[in-house]
Amino acid sequence: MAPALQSSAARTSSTSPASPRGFKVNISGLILEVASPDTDWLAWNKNRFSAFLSEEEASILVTHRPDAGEAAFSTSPSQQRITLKGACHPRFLDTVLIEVLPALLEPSLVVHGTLLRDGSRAYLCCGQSGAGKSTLAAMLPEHALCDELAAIRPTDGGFEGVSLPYWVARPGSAPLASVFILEHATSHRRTRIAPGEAVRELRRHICWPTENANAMMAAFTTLTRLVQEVPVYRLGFRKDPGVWDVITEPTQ
Amino acid sequence: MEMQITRASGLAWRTVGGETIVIHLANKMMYGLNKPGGRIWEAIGDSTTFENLVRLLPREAGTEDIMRRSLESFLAGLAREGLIVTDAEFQQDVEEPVGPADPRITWREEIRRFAGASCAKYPGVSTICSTNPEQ
Repeated sequence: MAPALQSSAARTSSTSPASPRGFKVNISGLILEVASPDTDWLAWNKNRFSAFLSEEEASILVTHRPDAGEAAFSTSPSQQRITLKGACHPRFLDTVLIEVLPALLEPSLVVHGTLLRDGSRAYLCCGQSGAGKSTLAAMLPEHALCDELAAIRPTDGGFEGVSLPYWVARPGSAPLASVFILEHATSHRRTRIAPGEAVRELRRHICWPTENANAMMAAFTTLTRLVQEVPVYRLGFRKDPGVWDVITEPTQ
Repeated sequence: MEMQITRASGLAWRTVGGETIVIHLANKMMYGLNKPGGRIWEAIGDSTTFENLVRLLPREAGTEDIMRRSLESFLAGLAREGLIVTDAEFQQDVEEPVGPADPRITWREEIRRFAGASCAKYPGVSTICSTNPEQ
């Protein structure tokens, strides 16, 4: 049986791999090295990302400079260096990563949703705050990979759902079988929606790299390809783990 | 002089399930065009004239004027949204087209950066999250 979903922030970092400068984290295959002279700040974030730590070579360097004025961040033109300035709260790193990941991960989509997996297939369940993403993940802990943000990565044969460290999450990925738009309901039901409508719906759940035209084009291309290759459904559900049978029903 | 119609720059579009979806990168807007609208959109190409587009309209006795006005209304909408550039002054006061053969912008949606990604669990951490209108 797969390990149950755990809070990445709740894990210890005592046995996690570390770099001499700080720590390295793997976010959908992107390796970021995080460094700071503030050991408390660094330790807090190392613990926060403990489930996603890596020993691979980093391609992005994230540097925290607590003595550099008010809290702000900047990225180098190549986007290979990110600088967090000021004596910011440790969670500022999360905020900055949510800001920059959509462009860094292109042509993948960063989507506001819960990612579920049953061995060889992944299911993305999208919804605004309050739509039931966390509820669904908590009801299905053996299947849940993350409950807030996931990446959808185009592959040669389709798409892969990849968990991101937000908020209760563990690393994992699988070929994407279906996408669902969550709705609260009195009984479980799923209804397939047409590709054009799916674009309109999913648009609301994507973190768009709006400051980067090339990344926006890539995200748009990925989205329009996704809705034509992967079935998209509305999923009405009540608080009952039986919804898993509805999610994993064969494609209509 | 013929009225020239040119697609604006900074756009991307795809036809998905019979619907043409256009994204305006600078304005951060997304639009859906119905099938007749998609056909007109494709026919505009990089640039064309109004009369060239008129020639594409269905030719049924007694409907030429209605179809022409429907096309004008559609092009006026595209120009208003910054999707085409033209020196023509299209009729703005025509009634909204309703027939299935009328080219239409069927929906328009703003593209938001964060799509509601929740930082609300950690309020006050930064101003980036507090500017998210969907929290």
